[in-house]
Amino acid sequence: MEYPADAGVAPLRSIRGFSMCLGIPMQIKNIDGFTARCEAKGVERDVSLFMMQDQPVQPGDFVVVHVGYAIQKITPREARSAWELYDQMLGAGHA
Amino acid sequence: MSDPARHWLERIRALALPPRVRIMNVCGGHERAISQAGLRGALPGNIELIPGPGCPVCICPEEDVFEAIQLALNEDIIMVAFGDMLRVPVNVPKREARSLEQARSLGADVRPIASPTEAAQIARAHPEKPVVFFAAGFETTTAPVAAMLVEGAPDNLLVLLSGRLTWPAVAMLLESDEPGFDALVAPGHVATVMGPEEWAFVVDQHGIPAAVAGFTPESLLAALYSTLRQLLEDRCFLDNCYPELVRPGGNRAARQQLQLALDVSNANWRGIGVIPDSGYTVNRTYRVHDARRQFPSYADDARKRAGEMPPGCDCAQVVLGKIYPNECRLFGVACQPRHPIGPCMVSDEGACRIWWSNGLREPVNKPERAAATT
Ligand code: SF4
Repeated sequence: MEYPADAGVAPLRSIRGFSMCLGIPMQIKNIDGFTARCEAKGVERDVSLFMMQDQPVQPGDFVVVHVGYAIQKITPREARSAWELYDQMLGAGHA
Repeated sequence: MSDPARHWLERIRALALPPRVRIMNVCGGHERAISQAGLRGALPGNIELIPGPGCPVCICPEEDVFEAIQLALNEDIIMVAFGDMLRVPVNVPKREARSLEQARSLGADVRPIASPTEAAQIARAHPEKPVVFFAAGFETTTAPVAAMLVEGAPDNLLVLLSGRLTWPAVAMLLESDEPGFDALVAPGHVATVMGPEEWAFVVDQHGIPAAVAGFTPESLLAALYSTLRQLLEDRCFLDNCYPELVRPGGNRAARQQLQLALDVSNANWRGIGVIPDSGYTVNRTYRVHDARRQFPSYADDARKRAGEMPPGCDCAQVVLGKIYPNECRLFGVACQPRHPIGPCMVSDEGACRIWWSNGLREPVNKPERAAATT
């Protein structure tokens, strides 16, 4: 399956297998309304905070992102260990 | 494997297990993590880990995919869908478009997206055209679709919704004569959004041990250990082995948005049939965004083999955990990710695709597990 060229999110797309179920931990850089600029492993993308209205978040917080929407806050330690796991999985030759 | 994971593995190995324990998972992410971490090989041989209904793309009704293809081919619209959906095949004569990807090569405007927000952006960029978002997914994907509607989608954005709830398929299995599993690992992100309470019926009504798990080997092994202990001690409760994300009540804002925009209804599962209260439909308030209301004439359920899996494909059995992927005789032979026969080999969450990606390439000629149980 080829995806449209979209340099900024390509590394995240390359792990698209995780996008449906696994969710990706990202750190919030700044917030504008319900949109947060988030970062993970040097890749930035816009994430909707619309589903986070019960749980106030601020820049610096980590969230789990699923199909472009933050679904829950997570601690920095948990975000790091999730990323370590994904690195291992990708290293293990995701076909 | 991490130290905590090894710790759980050792505790599992120390248990006095019965000759055979079958533990089902119902999430493609779980199955991927289990396969990639090699948990099946690491666990004692009497523990069977069975991938169950965990792939929304695999059970997306054949007639819905057909409808999307016909809409894309015959109307002046832009069709957007999550990437996996573009390659899902339908049962049509050879000369017709079998998938959205083939519709695109015939000139239809079909675009893969990664988020509902992208669908809204495309609709805003093309106010002159209807943009139809073909949205298949379980609760974790359907909730963002609801959020997009509640936040205020552009008028020209229509949703062709094939959202499904996860637990009713498990309920259907448990109510059948042969559920095929002794314990359940409940899906971590579905529970993050909907709350773990949804899974209490497994324990309360059926006496089957259950634990919510995350996606690390340690969380999965902790959940497996929990269900095994519950079995051995004959004391079932719904355990939460993913407390960092899964909280009582789930994500309340997300659940509220689901309720505001969508209704729950009986729904068809490809190759399986109708499961009560297992689907989402766009409700009256948001009906201007319902593609089925705007283009009612494209549903054609009366075609030959409508609703079925492709000929020769055992996906329905795989999805229900009745057979393992490599028990399908097409597995790895006629059916591979590059030329998939069934949806379970198309989707990243399909058990066939996951097993193939982890190095299993050939079918096994085992008798069906259902027959082997007794
Ligand atoms: S191997 Fe292919 S044909 Fe067989 S069940 Fe899986 S997807 Fe269907």
